[in-house]
Amino acid sequence: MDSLLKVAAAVAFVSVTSIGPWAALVPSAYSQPVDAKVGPTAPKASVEAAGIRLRSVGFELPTEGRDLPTGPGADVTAANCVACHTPGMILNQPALTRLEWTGEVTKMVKVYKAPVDAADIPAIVTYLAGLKVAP
Amino acid sequence: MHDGMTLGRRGLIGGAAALGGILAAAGARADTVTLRLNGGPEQRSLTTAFPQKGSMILQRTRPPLLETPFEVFDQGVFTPNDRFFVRWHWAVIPEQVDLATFRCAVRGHVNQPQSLSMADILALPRVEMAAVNQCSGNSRGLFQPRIAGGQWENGAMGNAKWIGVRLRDVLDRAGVKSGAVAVRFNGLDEPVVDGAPDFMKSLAIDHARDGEVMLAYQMNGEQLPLLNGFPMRLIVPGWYSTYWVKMVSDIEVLDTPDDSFWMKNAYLIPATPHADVKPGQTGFPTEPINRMVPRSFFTNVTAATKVKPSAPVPLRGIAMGGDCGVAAVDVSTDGGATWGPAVLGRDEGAYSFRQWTMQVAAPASGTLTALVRCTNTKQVAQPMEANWNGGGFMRNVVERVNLNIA
Repeated sequence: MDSLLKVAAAVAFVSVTSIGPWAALVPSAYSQPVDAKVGPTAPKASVEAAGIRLRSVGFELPTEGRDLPTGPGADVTAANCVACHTPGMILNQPALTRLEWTGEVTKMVKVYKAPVDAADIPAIVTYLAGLKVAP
Repeated sequence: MHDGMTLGRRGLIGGAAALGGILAAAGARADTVTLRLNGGPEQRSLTTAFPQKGSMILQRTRPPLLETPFEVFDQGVFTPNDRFFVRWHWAVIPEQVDLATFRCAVRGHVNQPQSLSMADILALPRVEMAAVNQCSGNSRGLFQPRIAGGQWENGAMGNAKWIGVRLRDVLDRAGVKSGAVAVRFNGLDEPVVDGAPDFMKSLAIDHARDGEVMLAYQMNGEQLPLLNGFPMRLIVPGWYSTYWVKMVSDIEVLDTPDDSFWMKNAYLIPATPHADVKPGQTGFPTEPINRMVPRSFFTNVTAATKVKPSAPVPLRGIAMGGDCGVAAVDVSTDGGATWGPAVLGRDEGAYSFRQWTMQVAAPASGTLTALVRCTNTKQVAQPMEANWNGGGFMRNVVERVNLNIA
């Protein structure tokens, strides 16, 4: 009898917390989380027309990538290269020759305006060309 | 578990599916995936750390390069928004977009420059189009010899039902002046360093006005995820994704050819059949990358799939015609000597993925090697030999899978 009452209470509680209008009565432990669809910093404005509603969004994008392996030239590479892209870009490359890495670094500087001191380029290229490509 | 973020339901399903796909690989961890990239590196993390995204293959955190785990393509011809691939050029990406202040300019060689809110855009005639969005460099990691760049396997692509407005209707609001030659699109993202070339792309004026190029504010029934270009992106059906500018906020009509960096110097392909040259070859003409080419894939089997001796083997996958529809998908189990037609699934439109199915018979022992080849409605078929070019662009070789008999 006791256990039946417990079951009945549980069923009643579940019914109360699940049915729409009753949801307002439930304690805060069951309140909805921040609207995951638009994000924690979403502005309020939305627009709607003919059945389509667009809602402003606000999220946080991850910024931290992997660490570059330690070794000679790691610091100057990190200092010059990680401002624009995380190290995964470097570490996912296949084995490139010194010449190919020189081409890539030159492109970063000349085309993409990476503010690299010309004097630092040889050390960076040496570091990149010396990276062991994971299997 | 994954960066301390709670796994949503879809992330869990994605993670479980990825787990199923890699259990056969000895020593693989549950939160990594092994890509088949000769020469490596093959290991990638699976991440759920990105907003509005389930489990994705992490190619780069910032700016994001997220690849779709390939098992997602076996779930249906439309790629769920939270598993749709992500590719940004520059790291300054707005994390917040306020529809109260967002405006898209339409300016340049026009009669009445415009500053359009999303309410203005929503008021224009609504159109819908199913279309595959594929990165120019999708499959670059599979090139031999290897090429520097984003080291994708085959998952930098996705198919969606795009809802939005014709670009032509937006241009007509401004009134394109005679003498216009191109339309250039710029999004809200910016380079980190001053002076670096902002990412923008252009289309020839007739292409821009063809009635198929559109600005989409919905994909697969929902507004665009931030990382796929909220509030609206350009849809260029049948053309590579580099043109599908995200977070479009500036539309400039040009009366001289576009000589900006990302059109003139980047995304160039050899103007040769299959955009194919030999490694080290020089002196060939180039042109901006443009139309896609046919592709087809196995989605229900991988090299890890074991088949029973002499048993029927159901094969399933997706195909795309490239810049037109799928006419046929054929499968060979004798190295391409003979081909049998696969059954095509529902036609969702010329630019959409199309499902294909086929049953073959496994031999009594050894290996069953299956090839799949798409022929599009212009009678262009996938080549048996892979192309090569210095950008790692436009791979579309016939795909093959080796299934072990056990």
